[in-house]
Amino acid sequence: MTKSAKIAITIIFIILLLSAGALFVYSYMAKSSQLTAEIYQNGVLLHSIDLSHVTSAYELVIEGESGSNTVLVEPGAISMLDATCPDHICVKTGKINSPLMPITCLPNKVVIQITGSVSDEFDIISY
Amino acid sequence: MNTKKLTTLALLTCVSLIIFVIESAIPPLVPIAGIKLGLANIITLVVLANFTPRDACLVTMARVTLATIFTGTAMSFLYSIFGAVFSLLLMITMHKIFVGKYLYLTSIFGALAHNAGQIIAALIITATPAVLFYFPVLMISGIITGLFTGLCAHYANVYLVKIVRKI
Repeated sequence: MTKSAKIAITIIFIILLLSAGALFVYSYMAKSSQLTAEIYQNGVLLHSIDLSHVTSAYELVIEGESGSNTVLVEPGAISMLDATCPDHICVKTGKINSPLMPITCLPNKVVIQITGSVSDEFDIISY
Repeated sequence: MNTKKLTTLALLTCVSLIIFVIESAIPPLVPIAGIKLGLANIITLVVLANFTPRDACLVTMARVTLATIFTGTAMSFLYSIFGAVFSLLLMITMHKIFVGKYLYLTSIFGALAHNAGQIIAALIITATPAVLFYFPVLMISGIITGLFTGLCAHYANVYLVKIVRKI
């Protein structure tokens, strides 16, 4: 195996370990008691919801130029109930309760992101 | 470019397009946006292994354009182009570094670059820094799918090289 191949495999392993590490950090942040869900459209923050203070479930409708999204807010979790986009990947994502994964509806440019209060310095993790 | 080479490249573009369309018809295994097998990259790797980098760019760009016309929207074209350009640049570089060997390693880097390109496209289009949270998941899936696609391309090339080299 040539030297360049060995370096390449090392780089791949480093990326793999860093990604796995980041996922562990995300799941740790999920265990924090205060979960805030932020709903963005076109980069503009529309709603900031404290999920741990939600007592009963309710729905939010977000209107955009190319369609609308219906968001279901529950105690401790948020999910996309319905959308007018063709793929419905946002609906299939299901409920989220950690910063591990946001819910995105790219055609309508809606992003739902959960931020944990444990470590505020981890606003963005990039490599 | 002589006619035989042109026809072979056109055929390979067709095969790549068919693979892409069939793969997009399969319901997603994992409901995370952006995770897919990327089997059409097998053809890109085969072209990269048997022809010049310019030919690989031709085939890939033609396939991306046609695929968007058949199955996509103007939005998906932007994402595809970002992914394809990043992926091609890195794959051509790595292919040169590896002197044509280790096709599966080139493929992994191609997959990683493709996913990174799509995240950057999503960042620009949705203007939300929160999409960067997707990076770890897409990097891991990129390594896995890149390895799988690369191995497929490697073993396909064992047979294809005999047909394709007759140009």
